[in-house]
Amino acid sequence: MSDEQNSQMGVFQDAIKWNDQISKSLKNLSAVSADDVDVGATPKTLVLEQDKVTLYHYDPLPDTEVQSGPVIIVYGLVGRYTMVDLQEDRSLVRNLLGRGVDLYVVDWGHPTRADQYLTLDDFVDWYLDDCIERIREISGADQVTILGICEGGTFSVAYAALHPEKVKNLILTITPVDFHGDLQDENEAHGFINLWTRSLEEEDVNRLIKVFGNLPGEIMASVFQMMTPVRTMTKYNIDLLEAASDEERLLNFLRMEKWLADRPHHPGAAAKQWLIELYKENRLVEGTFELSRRRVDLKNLDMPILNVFAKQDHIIPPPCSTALGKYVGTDDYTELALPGGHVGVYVSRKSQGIVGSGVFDWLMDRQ
Amino acid sequence: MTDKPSEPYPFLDMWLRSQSAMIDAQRPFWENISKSLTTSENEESARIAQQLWDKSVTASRDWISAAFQNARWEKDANDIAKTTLSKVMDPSQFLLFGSDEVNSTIQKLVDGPGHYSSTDLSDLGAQTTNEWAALREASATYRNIVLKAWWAAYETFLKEHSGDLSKLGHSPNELIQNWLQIANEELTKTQRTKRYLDAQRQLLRAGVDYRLKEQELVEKWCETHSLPTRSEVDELHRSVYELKKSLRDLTKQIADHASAPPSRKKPGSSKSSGEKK
Repeated sequence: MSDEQNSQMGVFQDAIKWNDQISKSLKNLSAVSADDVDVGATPKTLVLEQDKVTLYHYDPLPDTEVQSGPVIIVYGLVGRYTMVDLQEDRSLVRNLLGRGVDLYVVDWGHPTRADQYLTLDDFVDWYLDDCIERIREISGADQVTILGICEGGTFSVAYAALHPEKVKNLILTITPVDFHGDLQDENEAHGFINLWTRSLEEEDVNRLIKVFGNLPGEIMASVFQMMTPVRTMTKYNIDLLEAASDEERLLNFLRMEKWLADRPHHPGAAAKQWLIELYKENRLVEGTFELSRRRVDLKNLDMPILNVFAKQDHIIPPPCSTALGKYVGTDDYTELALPGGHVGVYVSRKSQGIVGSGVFDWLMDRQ
Repeated sequence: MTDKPSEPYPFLDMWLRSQSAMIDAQRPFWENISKSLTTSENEESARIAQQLWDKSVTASRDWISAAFQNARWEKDANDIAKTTLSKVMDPSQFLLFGSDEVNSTIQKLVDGPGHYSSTDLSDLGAQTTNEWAALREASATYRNIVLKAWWAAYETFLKEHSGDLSKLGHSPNELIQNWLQIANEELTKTQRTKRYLDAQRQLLRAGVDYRLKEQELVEKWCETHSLPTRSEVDELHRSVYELKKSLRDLTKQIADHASAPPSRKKPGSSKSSGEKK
């Protein structure tokens, strides 16, 4: 066969392969049911319920002895905590439970228009403080380790700065602290959310929230989608069809979609603080951010701190996280840089072991 | 086999045919598009934006039809590739990447048969005319910027393929991936421009203004018919929130007081959370 014929045959074969892949995809898609797509499934017990906020205590895994003091996972309001427990083999929760960590998680629930007046003061100094108090009561420990994620990491920073006596260790992952840190990031594809928020006037944010009462989850989802435009264009055609050709990949895809679709509304008053005082005015590192009429002074962070960030994080550019090191009041400050992007820290197979063992080893050295 | 040098390469053949036909057909449009995109103003801009948009959609569809007419892939694969490419090359996909709840609402309003949906409120449309006009204007400006990005990507895509014939034997999947890579670069670049950010902010403002005006009119209607208004319900939520907060503060003060060691139980000393708003 001539080179030309080989080339033509290559095109035919590629097309046939693609066709086979799509046939398999359609078959797998028709076979999957909603029950197959379970997220946040690790067993846990409800230990505190207040308004829409719930605190859970994870059940220890069978044959695993608890080796650490209590640790609470604090996620933000822009997504659900289920990201850390997406599926059995991609779960920070299981990773830590399997190593003997005594683990709790706070679920902020799904705020409605009735919750529009809740402020960051309330989430940090009311709900989170009540969760910490409950954990102290259950565990008998004087201090609790906080593991904050993304916006929840910022809540954790604020809480630890206001109540350092109750915090044993502070573990932060993909957490914004310097909200203008994106300006230090050379990657053009990073930090669009920072740029977008700064392009708005304060009045734009206020009026947007006036319309809806809250910052609708759909708007946050769209802003995130804008950061990866082509991914958004191809997600439900090319990507889905590719993923669906393999049953396991399809379920992974659908679990992630389930998590992404479960995007709560951000209470309006708290959203104004988040977007205006933090994203636009960068008050946390300016030293002018106040909660409950008290200044959040990062120098009060005198406990051991582990700061985990993703090198390719387009949502929270690395300089936004690593800036923390300049402001804290402790010498026991450690950074752990991970390959991959924002969500990849929790869901990529590659990161699972690194995050789990990195956090656990650091934690056990500080019990 | 024919004597045409491109015949063994289905993509080459397809590209040569389609490029030639398409570029000829689009020449007048290409000559005017830059000018139109930058000078359209006021209400006229909405009409021009729609016209440009329609032409862009037609251009992408025509190209895809021509491109696949001579493709030699298996029929099913050809159909799927064509559908997929049609989808990802549709200019409206560029618009969607920047959409959000407000923009979607705006889009529905712009595309809908009228600019109010509550037929009971028969004069709502008339009373929101100014906001409606501003919304159309902002939407047109935003569309034009997105459209310009689409054309820039499209132009790069055409240049890349016509300039390097060795690429033309590639599979449908590779063709799609190539378009996506070009589109991603153009979109990422565009959305960081001041022009884009300003246009999106104006669209957001116009959408919010429209919604606020609409809410104001609905409130008046509710008042007229002795129905609870949105503001009244919000006020009720505020009262409940403040009561809950006071209750929490009091409960905490009592708990702190009860758990404090006797030596610290001095009158007036149990105000640990008295600073709360």
